[in-house]
Amino acid sequence: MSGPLLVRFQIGHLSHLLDPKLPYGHTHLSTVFVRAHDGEEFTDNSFVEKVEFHQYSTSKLVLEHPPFMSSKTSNPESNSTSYEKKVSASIWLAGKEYKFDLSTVPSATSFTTATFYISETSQAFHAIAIRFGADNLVRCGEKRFMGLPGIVGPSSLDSMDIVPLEKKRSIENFKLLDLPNEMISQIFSYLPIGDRLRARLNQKLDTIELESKYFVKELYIHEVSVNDPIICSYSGQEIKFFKEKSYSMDGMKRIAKNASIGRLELYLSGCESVHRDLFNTIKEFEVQRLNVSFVTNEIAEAIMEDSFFLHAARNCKDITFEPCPNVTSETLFQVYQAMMDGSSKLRDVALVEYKYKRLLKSFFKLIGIKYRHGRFLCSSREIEVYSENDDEDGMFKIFDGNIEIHFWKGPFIGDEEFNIFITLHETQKSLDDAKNKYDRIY
Amino acid sequence: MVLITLVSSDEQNFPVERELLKQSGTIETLIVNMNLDDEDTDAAAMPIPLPNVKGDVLEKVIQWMEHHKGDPVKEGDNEDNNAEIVVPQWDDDFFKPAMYGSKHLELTVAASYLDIKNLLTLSCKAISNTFKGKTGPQIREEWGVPNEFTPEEEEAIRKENEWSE
Repeated sequence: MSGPLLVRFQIGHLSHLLDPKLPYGHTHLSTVFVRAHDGEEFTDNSFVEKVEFHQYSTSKLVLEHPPFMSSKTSNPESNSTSYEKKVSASIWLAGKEYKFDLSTVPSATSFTTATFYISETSQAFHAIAIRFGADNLVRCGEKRFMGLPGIVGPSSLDSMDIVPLEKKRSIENFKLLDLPNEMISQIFSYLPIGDRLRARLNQKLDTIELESKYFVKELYIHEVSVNDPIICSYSGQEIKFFKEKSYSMDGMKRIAKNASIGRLELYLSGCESVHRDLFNTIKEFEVQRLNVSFVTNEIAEAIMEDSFFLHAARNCKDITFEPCPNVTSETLFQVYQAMMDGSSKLRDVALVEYKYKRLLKSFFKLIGIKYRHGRFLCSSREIEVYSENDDEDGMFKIFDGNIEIHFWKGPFIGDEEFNIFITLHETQKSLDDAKNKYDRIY
Repeated sequence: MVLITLVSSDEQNFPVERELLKQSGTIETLIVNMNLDDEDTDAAAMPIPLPNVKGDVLEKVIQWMEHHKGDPVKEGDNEDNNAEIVVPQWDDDFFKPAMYGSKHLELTVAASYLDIKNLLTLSCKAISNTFKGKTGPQIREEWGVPNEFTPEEEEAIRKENEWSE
């Protein structure tokens, strides 16, 4: 036998006034139905076996087949003046009758949710009920459910299991776990990641955590040392890991599974297995803005790969790599084309300390720009080049349609490392603003 | 001032100002469907039964609605703001006496049933605040969560959670 369950149904019992009247004085169209808790109609008898609607002790409507719904016209006045009093619905589940009183439900409601408590079930039925959205209860607390408003037990249970209506008051042990899953999920959505993971204190909470998505506006992941714990005043959420400890990547994968991150900042200060694993796990996150910083160029060279860059470019809106030593010009061009033809959602790329001058030159060659003896030569008429005043340390801006590439003049003057920014302007105004205060030189 | 009578599951009557009830999607729908806003409907003669809400809980709900009369309802769940929702001092004091108890939870369930979005949000947020910075055993104690994990499962979770220590 399996544990107790809370099963919910939508029970409908509508009555519409007809206009014009039908023969035999029929003035109303009544519709009754039983549906799954989420309003889905049943399509077979595997869960609900039979439904009956009772009016007084005389009138009975039996529905043995899905979708367990019936509409008929009637003349309620001819039956009684107090129509829709003493109406009840019975639902048969696993051979037992569960009765729900509809008398107190206002006739104007389109449906009401009936919740049944089922104390013991066969494993097969248990599995079916869960599939139809039943809540699994903790065995030790089953009795107290009988006191909750709106929850009734099966009519065929013996009196030991049913607390009479009169006693259904001031139950003081309503527990957190008694809340519907979606409410617990909402509570979890307000928690910072650490507290959220810690709140997985039993199977039910663990399952809810696993199955609900959440949004984290800003997340900063970095490494600290036991001897030198960095106190950071970061405004968003923070995950720090200690150099001296070992970690299971499962925890990070668990976070990656459901967290949607607005801005993720990763700070890598080593290139050992934990850093590599962490770096690869970042791919599993849903991130809008990704910022990866490597403490040294050597670490970046050891960890950073074209495949990661492409993956980030495909999935993020905004990416920054700092520094960015080994992204090839072909890869950069591939990303650039995807921005150009609108096949990626990428809007901003920042490559800080993009190391090789020749890579930039070959990237420009791919776009169709040559730079010789202080002059730009462009193969496409679409391309415009702007310069920041006459300032030698200023910036060049290249516009290719609505894409802007800007960089310090450094690489063309002889510096080793430089930054390159690629921005997709979504509006004409933003494009015009970007050109403002710059002199067109090509 | 038009009064609408709400009837709790334990048959207590609560006459409530019509205006306040706009905060509850469920009751608002009932009022419209029962034509209680019509001038020729005698609203006082047509109480609204709320079989899912107990009297003591309904009393708290009405008290809350009175304080929040006229507050704008934030439409749509803007997930960006989840972490930034702040429970105002008044609400914090309102929830506090019931905190960690079934009362607060019943109030939350009632907010959901009555479809009072702001109350549901603040109430859930207040519950989530009681989790912050607490250890597992503390939360178990406060909220009565039994430990059903095997030692192996518990160890696996502890290992996963190391990232967030």
